Amino acid sequence: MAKNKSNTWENVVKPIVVLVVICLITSALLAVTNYFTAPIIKEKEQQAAYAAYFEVLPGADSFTTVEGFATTGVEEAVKADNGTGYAFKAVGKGFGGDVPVIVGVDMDGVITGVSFMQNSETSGFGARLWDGSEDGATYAAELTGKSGSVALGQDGVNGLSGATVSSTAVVNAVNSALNCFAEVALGQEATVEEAAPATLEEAVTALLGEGAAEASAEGAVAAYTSADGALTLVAVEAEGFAPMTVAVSFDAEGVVADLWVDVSGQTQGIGTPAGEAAYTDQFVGLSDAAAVDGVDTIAGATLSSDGVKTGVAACMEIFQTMKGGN
Amino acid sequence: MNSKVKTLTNGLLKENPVLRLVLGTCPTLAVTTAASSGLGMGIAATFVLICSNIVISALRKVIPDKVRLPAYITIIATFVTIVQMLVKAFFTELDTALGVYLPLIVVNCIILGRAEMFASKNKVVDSALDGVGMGLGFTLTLVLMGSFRELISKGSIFGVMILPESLDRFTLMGSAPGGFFTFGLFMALVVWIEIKTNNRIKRSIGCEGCPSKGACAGKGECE
Amino acid sequence: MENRLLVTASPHITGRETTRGLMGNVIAALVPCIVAAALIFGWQALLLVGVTTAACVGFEYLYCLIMKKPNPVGDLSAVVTGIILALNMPVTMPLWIAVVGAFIAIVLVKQLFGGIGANFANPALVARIALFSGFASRMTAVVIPDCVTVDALSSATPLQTADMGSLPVLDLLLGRYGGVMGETCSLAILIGLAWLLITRTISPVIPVTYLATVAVLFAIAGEPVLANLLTGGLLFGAVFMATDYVTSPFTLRGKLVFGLGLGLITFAIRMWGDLPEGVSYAILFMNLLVPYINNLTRQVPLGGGKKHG
Repeated sequence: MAKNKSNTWENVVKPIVVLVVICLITSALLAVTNYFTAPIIKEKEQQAAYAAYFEVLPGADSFTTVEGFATTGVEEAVKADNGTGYAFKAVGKGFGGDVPVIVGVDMDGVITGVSFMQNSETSGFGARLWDGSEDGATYAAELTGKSGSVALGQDGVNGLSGATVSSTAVVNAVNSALNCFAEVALGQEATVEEAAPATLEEAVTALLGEGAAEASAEGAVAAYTSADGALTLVAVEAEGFAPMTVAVSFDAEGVVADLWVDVSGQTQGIGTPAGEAAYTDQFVGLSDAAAVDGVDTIAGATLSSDGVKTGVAACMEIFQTMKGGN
Repeated sequence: MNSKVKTLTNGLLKENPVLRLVLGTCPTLAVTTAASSGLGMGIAATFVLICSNIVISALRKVIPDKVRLPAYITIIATFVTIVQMLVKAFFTELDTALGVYLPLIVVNCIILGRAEMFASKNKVVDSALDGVGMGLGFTLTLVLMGSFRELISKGSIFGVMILPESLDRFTLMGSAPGGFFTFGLFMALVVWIEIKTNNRIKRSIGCEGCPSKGACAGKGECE
Repeated sequence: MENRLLVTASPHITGRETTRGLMGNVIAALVPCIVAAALIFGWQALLLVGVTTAACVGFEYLYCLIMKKPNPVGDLSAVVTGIILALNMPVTMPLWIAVVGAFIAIVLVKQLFGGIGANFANPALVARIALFSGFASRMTAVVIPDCVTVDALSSATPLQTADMGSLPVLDLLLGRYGGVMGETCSLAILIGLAWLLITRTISPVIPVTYLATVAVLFAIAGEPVLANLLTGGLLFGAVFMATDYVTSPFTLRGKLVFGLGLGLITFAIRMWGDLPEGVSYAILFMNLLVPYINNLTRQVPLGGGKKHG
């Protein structure tokens, strides 16, 4: 009895009690240390994050983050506390993903400095932006001093030789930064690029509006009619460089109203322009296969452009069948 | 008094935690790319070691045997976290240099090992001295290895450029293969010192237990 | 009575070759490469070869002296290691770095592991890789010889130029392009190979299997086959480094597996890896696998094998 009691104490209760007490004391110690060190740590991390901004806007002494801007393509905007200007972290779409660019802009809207952060562009090509080679520094210098907007091939902005896609991404990022400056510093309206639909469902909503109803169509991946019945959408699988989904919306007469192409499988920068408005807009307003055939293919992206063309033609045919016409 | 001194100096050579007990090799290899990181890690680990040794020794009669490991780890982790918070707040460059190896001190075998081997069985003062000795040995080893690797891979020690700029640096020493090589070299050095001071204890494991059995050209010579 | 019985273990029939003789043949086979290197890159090539070889021999002699082991320098294996290591370096390599390489090859890879016959990988190869990792800019300094005729060959090593199929084969064969000393003149390597085969120093299985695998794989992948075969140290590695006795399998089947594996790894590294050549890592990797290959392809002795019943 006495032995049992002491056994329970030894085997069960004591370990629990000891552990609990140890945990309580250690938690108290940690809480106290944290209380004193946390604000200091936060301050240091803030300044470290701002380190990149100091590089592009040398006259600044400290920054505060700017909240609530709408310009697309800019991840962070900070304002120099001493009024020397703004700095932005903008991204452009490159060959291998996002190309982050830090841009410093003074109060007159002139770029004071550009620096490139780590990206996943091709080594020896786009990666020259951040791997410490001279090409990155040269490009940054070409952009410094510009204002308003920049473009490749204009005004001394040559970019990286042999890395057009990455250089274009940088130009896009810098323009986003300049647009953001216009928004936050000058109070102009934000340039917001709507994200292009990424899936068929999003495309349906974008092309037909809300409330589209599914329709049946033989040979198509999917078909929908808009809520008001005015537009019909047909989607097919076409062969480009890789399989691609082509969705075309027709009005009641069978004239192409709009189109959406899923170019995620095509070669980035080469085949992907086949899905962009500059190319697809050529199909708007066409109503027969012959006219579709007459649309040019993108130089260097024959497979992808042909994919779009055959896709549109196939959609037309299916639409005709749906309407019962010939 | 003699035994106190012995406890203190044990960790320097005879029972050097890294080179003789082969504990804490992971942070050793990772952190000795530069002498200053080695020093920083050594000091941080020593602080944790001394504190945890004291506490665990003080509580050695209170902590039941069943839960000693969870108890030790909680105590060690607390001290490591405190050190980490202090380093992040006041020595940010050290935090960047040590990176993930700072929180990894929690599982540094030296600390848990000494807690088990020594602190749980000895008085507080002795445990504290053991912590100091082991920590010193650890720090010294890290600084020496770090200096060696830094000298050959970058040409400097503690940031002070020693080798002329025109001399090529053997950058391999700064990465993993160099780390292992340096480790082996230092272990050989310590064994050599032991042989010379006649302190070598011959441990014979025979050919059966030897990992190089297959490739060994001098079978039976180890005896 | 006892000393009239002589008991020895097998083998009881020995060949007449000595290590020294074999190594001598290898050195002879390497002479065309040395000459070619001197012709293409200048007299510094000879200096580099000489210094590296002297360093290798010196280190071996010193090590055995300090460690009180019998002096093995007479078997010429250190000389071979020195020549091969030197030919793996560009002619602009500073001499002291070559000496460091010799130290790594002889002391670290060979002697510390037990001397000749006990090294786990080809010493010259490991030293080359160590120098490549440690003194990268020196090792990859592409030296363009004066006799280069085509523009495409006067920049980075041919394997890095985009359109390899257009490189003139004659230039590749004669070595009129940039690279390390031994890899460029394919003709010299082939002459060396012929000598090794004539004197039966090496079996043709490994080089042939290796080169054939690489050729077939590149042909399937649609890459220029001849250009791939003649550049990037492939020929040199296949003939002189992969065939090192200690670090390659001893049975025919083993050699086939070895050559196949080499070809596969080299192909994979060249196609999908960032490195331009892949030969040295392939050989190193297969060297490490040799004990297992030996175990798995062991020939069953006559009359031996599983017991039945």
